[in-house]
Amino acid sequence: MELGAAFSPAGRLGWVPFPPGLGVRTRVGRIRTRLSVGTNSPSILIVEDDESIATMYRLQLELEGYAVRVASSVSAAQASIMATGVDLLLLDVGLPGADGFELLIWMAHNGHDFPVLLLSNYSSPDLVERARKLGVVDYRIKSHTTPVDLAQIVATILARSG
Amino acid sequence: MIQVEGIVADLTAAALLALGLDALLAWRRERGRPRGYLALALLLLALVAVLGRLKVVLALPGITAVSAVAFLGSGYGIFLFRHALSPVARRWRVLAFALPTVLVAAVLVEAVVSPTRPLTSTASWILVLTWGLLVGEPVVHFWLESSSRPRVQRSRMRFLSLGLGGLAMVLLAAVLGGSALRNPRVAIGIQVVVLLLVPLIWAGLRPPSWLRRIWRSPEEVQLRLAVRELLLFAPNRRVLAERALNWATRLVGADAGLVAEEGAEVLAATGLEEAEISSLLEDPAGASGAATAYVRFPLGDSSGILLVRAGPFTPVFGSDELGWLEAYSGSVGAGLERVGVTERLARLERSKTQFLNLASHELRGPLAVIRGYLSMFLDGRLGEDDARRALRVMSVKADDMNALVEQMLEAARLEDGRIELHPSLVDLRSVISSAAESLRPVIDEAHPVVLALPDEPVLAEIDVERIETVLRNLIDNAVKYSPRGGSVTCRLDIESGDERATIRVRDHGIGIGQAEQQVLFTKFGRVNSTLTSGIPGTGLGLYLARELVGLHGGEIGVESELGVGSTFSVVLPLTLAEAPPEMGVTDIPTVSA
Repeated sequence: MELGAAFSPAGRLGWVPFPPGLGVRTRVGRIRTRLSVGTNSPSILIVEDDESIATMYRLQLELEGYAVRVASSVSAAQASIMATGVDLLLLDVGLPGADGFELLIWMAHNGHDFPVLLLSNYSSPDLVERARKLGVVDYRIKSHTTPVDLAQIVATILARSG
Repeated sequence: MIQVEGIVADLTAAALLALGLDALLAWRRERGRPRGYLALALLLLALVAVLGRLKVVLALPGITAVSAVAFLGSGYGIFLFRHALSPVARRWRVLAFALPTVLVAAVLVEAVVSPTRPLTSTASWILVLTWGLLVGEPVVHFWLESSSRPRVQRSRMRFLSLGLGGLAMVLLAAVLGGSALRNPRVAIGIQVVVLLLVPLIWAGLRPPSWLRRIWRSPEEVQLRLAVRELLLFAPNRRVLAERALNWATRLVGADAGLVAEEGAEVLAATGLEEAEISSLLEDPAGASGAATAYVRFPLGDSSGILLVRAGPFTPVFGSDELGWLEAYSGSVGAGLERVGVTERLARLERSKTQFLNLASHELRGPLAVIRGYLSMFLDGRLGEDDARRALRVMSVKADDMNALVEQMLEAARLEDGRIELHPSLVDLRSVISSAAESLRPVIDEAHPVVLALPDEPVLAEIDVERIETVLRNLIDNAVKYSPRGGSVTCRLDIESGDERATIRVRDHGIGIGQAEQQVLFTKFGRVNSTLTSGIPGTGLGLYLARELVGLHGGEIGVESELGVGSTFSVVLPLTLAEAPPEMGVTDIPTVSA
């Protein structure tokens, strides 16, 4: 994925996925999580320490019919993932204590392979590259991604992985 | 011919005596064991030559024995000179002592038995061979050792080696020559060679300035090229100082030296212990002399010092070396200033980039919320309650953005010196209460703000808006950096005979390390660590706080312990001074945890 495509106004409207390794892994994760949730509405976990942003995204995604949970730290997210499955993770990078990347590493070690969409207001190419290597599906700048945009992106990711 | 031989022999004896006395004077002036041994050796050698001449005139009993003992003594002296400079293994030392001692004993016994008989040719052989061994080893050692030395030291060691080695060869040739020596032409030839060797040894001992210049000159061409490289391309002050010092010691043949900024840091040092460095810097004049030379050079607002210390093979530090060092240090100073400016600019550039990243990130936070809710409004799906809540949040976020922009503008005004205070006489208690109150909407229950204020009003002449901004910033920080919760206490006290008020903001948060405390109040000096990674901030707040409090004639400080908490204190004079103090606007943080 080109950095410019992800961060330009055109890029934020259309979803440009990271190319490799999405389909099979996420499909397995999805089946497992679907079974564990036992409902048809996909389950989304938002890991975000800024309450106002988390609330806003949650509001929009609930309007779209998703089951949304919010965790404000990596440890809370880990507890939430282990307690009930997740179909999609919306992850912030800068979190108090451990950061978003540490959660990604933890997920890789523990076999959690549902798709992850990284949301951050940091936009350095290093972060994007690191995220790509850790198997993140997409990387979005929060201030460029309105909840309405986000709902579209989420729908596309879930459609692809489903 | 015999008369000529006598004159040449007298001249040789006189030259050796002069050399010995000069070495003695040098030892008296500069001390040190190596110089002492060398002076002793040369004096004994001179004694042998003088006794040789006396023998022709006076037939004193035992004169041969005294000559032989002095001769062996001179050889042993040169061996000790070598040992003092570069220690010899114990077994060789024992041998070097035992051999001449046995010979001296034999000579003395012989002298007692027959005081007037000259030495047999076998005895002369043994004596000269022993002397040759005692002197030959140091000569070869110095020659080999010299190749790894700077050119000036190398030349000096080789002169000394050549001189002493030449003497040994001449003496061996004289003994080996046997009957040929009776030929006066050969005898004169030998004396002339010895006479010519004396200035060689003397140049090795105390090279004159013109000779030192000649020794140095081939390296000066290299130096000019190296200095050009150094001044234009050295990446930082330390590298420049280290290379500059390397050239300085090399060109004057010193063994140790340092480059330092006076009253500040040692930029480079070589061959010196920590303790020596501090004592040299404390009193360079006290240490200076033949063994240490130093020059001061202008370096920014203060001055730098370039100091070199002699080693055993360093030629003299004369006016020639001092003149050279002075000219050289001027270039070094200019280079250090150039590198300093480059480093400062690079640091500033990095800080500004870092700040722009931080600031854009900080602005994107509230912007994301405002844009987000606006898109939801436009989408038309927000319920009435949600819409009302969204408007409130948007309003708070707009205020956040406004505060951030104000902070940046205030920092820019400070840089330009455009800040004007609008002082008024107010009760500090109300300023503190107002600052705490304004933060109430954003402070959660886990961080109760406790105000400890005196019962009586505390009137102070301050710019209310700016001091309130400072306090709001401190309280906000106290809350932000206490992720586990805990109370935040704001305490107001009157100190220094009712002239100053101290406001302390105390938290039970993550605390700040010692190194980070140094940069905390500098521009963009935000502490970056895993503990603070999720906490928003531009690194401007405390910088502004320090500058604004400074404008009031007050000061701001911090006491903190990692994991325990921090206490920020703002000391404000109750009456504003007429002219606020000058502001420092060029400080740049250098520590990032």
